[in-house]
Amino acid sequence: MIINPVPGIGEDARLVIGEEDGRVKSVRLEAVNKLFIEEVLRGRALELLPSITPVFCSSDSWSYTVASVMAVEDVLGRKPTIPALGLRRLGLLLEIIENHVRNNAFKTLPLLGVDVRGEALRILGYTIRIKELLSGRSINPIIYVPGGVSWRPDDKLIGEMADYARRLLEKITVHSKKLISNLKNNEFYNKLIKQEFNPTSYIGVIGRNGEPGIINGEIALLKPGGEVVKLELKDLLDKLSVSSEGLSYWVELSGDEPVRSGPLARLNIVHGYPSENASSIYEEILLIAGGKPVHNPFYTVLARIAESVYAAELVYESLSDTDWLSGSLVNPKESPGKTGYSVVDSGRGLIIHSYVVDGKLVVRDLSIYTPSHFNYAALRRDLSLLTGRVLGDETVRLAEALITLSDLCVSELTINPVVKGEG
Amino acid sequence: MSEGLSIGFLELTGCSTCLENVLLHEKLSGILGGLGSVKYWPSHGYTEEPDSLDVLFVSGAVRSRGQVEKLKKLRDKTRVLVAYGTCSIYGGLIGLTALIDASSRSGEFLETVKTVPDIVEPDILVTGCPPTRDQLDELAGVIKDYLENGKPRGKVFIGNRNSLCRDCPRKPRDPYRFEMPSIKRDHELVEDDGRCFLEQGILCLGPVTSSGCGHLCILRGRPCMGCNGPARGVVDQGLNYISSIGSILLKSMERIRMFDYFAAEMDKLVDPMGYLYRYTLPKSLLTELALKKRGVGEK
Ligand code: SF4
Ligand code: SF4
Repeated sequence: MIINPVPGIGEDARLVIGEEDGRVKSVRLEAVNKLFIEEVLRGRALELLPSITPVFCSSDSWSYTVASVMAVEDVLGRKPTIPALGLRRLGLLLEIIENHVRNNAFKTLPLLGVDVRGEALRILGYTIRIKELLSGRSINPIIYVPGGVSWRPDDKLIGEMADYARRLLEKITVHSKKLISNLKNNEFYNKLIKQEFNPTSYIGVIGRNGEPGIINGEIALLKPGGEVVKLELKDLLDKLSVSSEGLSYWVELSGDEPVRSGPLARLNIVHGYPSENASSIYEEILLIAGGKPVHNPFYTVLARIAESVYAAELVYESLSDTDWLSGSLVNPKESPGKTGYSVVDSGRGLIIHSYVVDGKLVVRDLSIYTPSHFNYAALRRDLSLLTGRVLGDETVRLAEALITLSDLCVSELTINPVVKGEG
Repeated sequence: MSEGLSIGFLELTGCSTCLENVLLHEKLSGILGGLGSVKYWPSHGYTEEPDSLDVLFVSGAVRSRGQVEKLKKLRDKTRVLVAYGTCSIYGGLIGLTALIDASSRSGEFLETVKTVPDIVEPDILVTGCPPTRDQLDELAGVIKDYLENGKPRGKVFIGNRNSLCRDCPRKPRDPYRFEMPSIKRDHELVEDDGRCFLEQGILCLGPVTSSGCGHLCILRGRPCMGCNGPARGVVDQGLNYISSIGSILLKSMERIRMFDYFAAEMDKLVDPMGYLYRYTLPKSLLTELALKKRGVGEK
């Protein structure tokens, strides 16, 4: 059986289910489109990458832009200004909300028989409006530049954004409560979250107080047994090994279990969400799950709810008091080198950029690791659990839901394994 | 009028999240009947292909044979086809993948990157990356007209096609007497003094780009990258741009030591593909020439 388009991905992939005597013999998700983007990016002027790399994924286009700006800054030896850090964080928080709301409402929940698409659209209406006020356009932001930001909103615009942020927070809080109670009463969902899944490792960026770090924190790797290892980015790059099959690529940590990144990973890694509403949702999730680590990918739905509320609380907070917006926009001090690295823990998961440039600041080599690179390996294993089941509607729906939970973007699955942590 | 409409979204190669903006735009969504009218949108869970569609929005560039087939098939079933976003009309950022020959990796890929109008006839074209709120306002009016008055009357381009410079808030006081003192790279702009970017030595694609976006970047301290596609009369964004700056770069110096200075300045343009063709490479004369050389598309 071949399914194309695949829910949540579209025409860029096909789900191939092998059958024997009416039962599942094998399940594979295959990429059928691929951008070969690294080849295109070699030879580009370094400073243009922040405007080109978002093409990887508009669901995470702000995160790709920021990751790229940070890697360019690392090459140039520039340090970003305070307003720049604040505006980057604001943009990424908005994107996290969108990513989670979009994935739950349009991709995963319809497969579980839950329709909240109308409400989701209304929430996206608020986030997109704030992003438009911030950067003029809702995707591929333009204001982030190496060492800073090109522009800052004035008080009037901030007021307008804060008003949208307040409405966003109200809406998302009510929506989340309703959705959680809806899921608690959903028989199919309750059956799914009780299923056993193989333990995996989890990776994410964690802040100083154990909160999601996004662009500011350390990389934490949680092993299946519960051990937490902090990693320097360059050490992580050295540990990554790349595998491929046809047009599909994925990465694994040498000698380790598949490693997930994204909302479920962060649910397991963080110590909590230090904001009022999100923290009570977090406690509730752990109560349902009976503690951490949570290995069942269907908990991703709940993790997305908690994180979107957390992000909405932070968005409102940062727009309510904007002292951080004063000061220089760009810090031009620099001492250019030959390599640059960055990591951003986006809604979808870990994005890593590493660039090598020549003396004219032209990109000569690069690697971009995406959330899909990490999560594809875990998905392969999740899908293998369907082997032996009766091949019927429910099994197909399960396979599709496992895919949407992983939130892959398969045309991203193209990497150049050359650039590692040296330099 | 929106009652019983069926609308679809086809995402070719591109990022495509901007398609959501169609349903988030009050006027446009109202005319289309909102979410209730969506019958096809594979990435958003509507995977079943309907028998017919009133309006189909197509985003992204065409890179594979499967996409060509799909596009043709859906065109046949659709009353109003909207090529949505610069990627669908000029290739957009995805167009840069025309720099490599993907067909040598897999027979599924085309020899080059194609656009929607290369394959089928769209009824409406909306540029932008993404199209802006104002462009969607105009689009809403045109779609309403099409749906009410039957068969489309040929192609309509949404948005102002004048060059960005024409109404730019940074326009030099005397556009015929100003000079570009040097060529700086984008990251070298650290203290924007508010003048025209060209006067500050920064490569702004305003002269060759259509202004439907409403000067979004320029109003936020960024030079234009060309994302809204070529302005009226511009055949090739890159070549037309080189000819525009050729007349203003080092004007006064030129008389003294033209060759030394001019050539050295032009050398600073280290990545012409990235700077000048970031959004329109597949539709450039350069691509046409490269394909001719490879014998692609010749009978
Ligand atoms: S070149 Fe750019 S900044 Fe100058 S007038 Fe044109 S659009 Fe405005
Ligand atoms: S100013 Fe240029 S790059 Fe910016 S939105 Fe307008 S056309 Fe696109």
